[in-house]
Amino acid sequence: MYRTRFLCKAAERVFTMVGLKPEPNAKEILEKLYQETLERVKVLPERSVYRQNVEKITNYRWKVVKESETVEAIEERVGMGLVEELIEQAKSELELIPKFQEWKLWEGDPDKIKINILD
Amino acid sequence: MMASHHVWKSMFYLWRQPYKYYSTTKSYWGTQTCFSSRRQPFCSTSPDKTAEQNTALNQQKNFLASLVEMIPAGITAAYIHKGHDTTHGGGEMVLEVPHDKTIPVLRFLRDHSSCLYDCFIDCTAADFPQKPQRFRVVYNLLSLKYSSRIRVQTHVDEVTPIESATCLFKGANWPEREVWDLFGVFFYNHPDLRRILTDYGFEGHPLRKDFPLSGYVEVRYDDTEKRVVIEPVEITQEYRAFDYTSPWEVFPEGGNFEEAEKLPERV
Repeated sequence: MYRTRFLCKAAERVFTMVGLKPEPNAKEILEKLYQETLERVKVLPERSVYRQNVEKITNYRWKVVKESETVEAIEERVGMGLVEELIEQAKSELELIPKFQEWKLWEGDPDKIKINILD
Repeated sequence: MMASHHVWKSMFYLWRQPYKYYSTTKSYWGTQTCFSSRRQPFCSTSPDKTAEQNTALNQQKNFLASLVEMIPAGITAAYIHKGHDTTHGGGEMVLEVPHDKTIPVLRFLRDHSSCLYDCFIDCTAADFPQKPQRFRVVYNLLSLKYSSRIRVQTHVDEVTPIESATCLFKGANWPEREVWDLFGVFFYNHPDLRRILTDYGFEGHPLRKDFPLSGYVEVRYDDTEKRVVIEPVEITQEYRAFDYTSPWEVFPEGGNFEEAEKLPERV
């Protein structure tokens, strides 16, 4: 009886990605991941644009998660796919931060690099 | 009864899903913050086509500018090849990367939330013998979330190795083997770097510009030895004499265009 109820609850959402398993505790997991991301990104220097962008994105998504009641509301407002995909993106961002620090990609002068538009 | 009705409704929705997903993204043009405004796929139908064409190129310019700001140590140059994307008016984004920074930049492009280039398309190379770093190794990536493609380029010579992208993308396995086989660019940390297209025991890297068109060896079946033998190539054509006083400009060998100025004027 509980299994069919779980299946029906999962089937209520419109699932647009084949192969992803529906996550029942999506909101809690997302909040935890975003908190951890904001903690970990403090290792990078303040002036690095990557740190500022990560903080902007994570703060916005964290705000959306805190303010929304249902999972569909989060998906609508963020617009980046299902919450399971958001969880994957948050996880890869989290794993990228220590690698970014190890490789020191923020060093260098961005003004020296010009963007050329060639025909 | 209620449960089965929900399951039936969701089955119907699952069948319809791709179109529902795309139809909701039209509302996100002005309302998204920072990089999620790039979420608009380029195949959207908007009545004002020229305005959209302009913004596609500008979106790509802004994206490259943001990349340059975030990872300046990993980029030596950035281009947009305009005019290749005629339907949407954008161009092809190209990032030039130093040869030891390929893996950091590819990792960044794969994992960062505003890039998400998680689909590996191809790894190829091109040979420019007049340059000291003659091989240009090219990685093509695709972002499914943002409907965007990007190219990551490095320049290496014959002896410089590049770290293999197989640690990030499993699909880079065979393309890198192909680049090794046909050009001779070595990829370290590759799980299985061996020849893939040339014959077993073949020597040389065929797609280099100094490798001749017919090659150095040819194979034939020998009746006395009852096996295939490898012999130096013999072109069994009579030697063709060319008339060098042709009315068209004669290009010098090896692409050495400084010499072209010294050639005699056409009569």
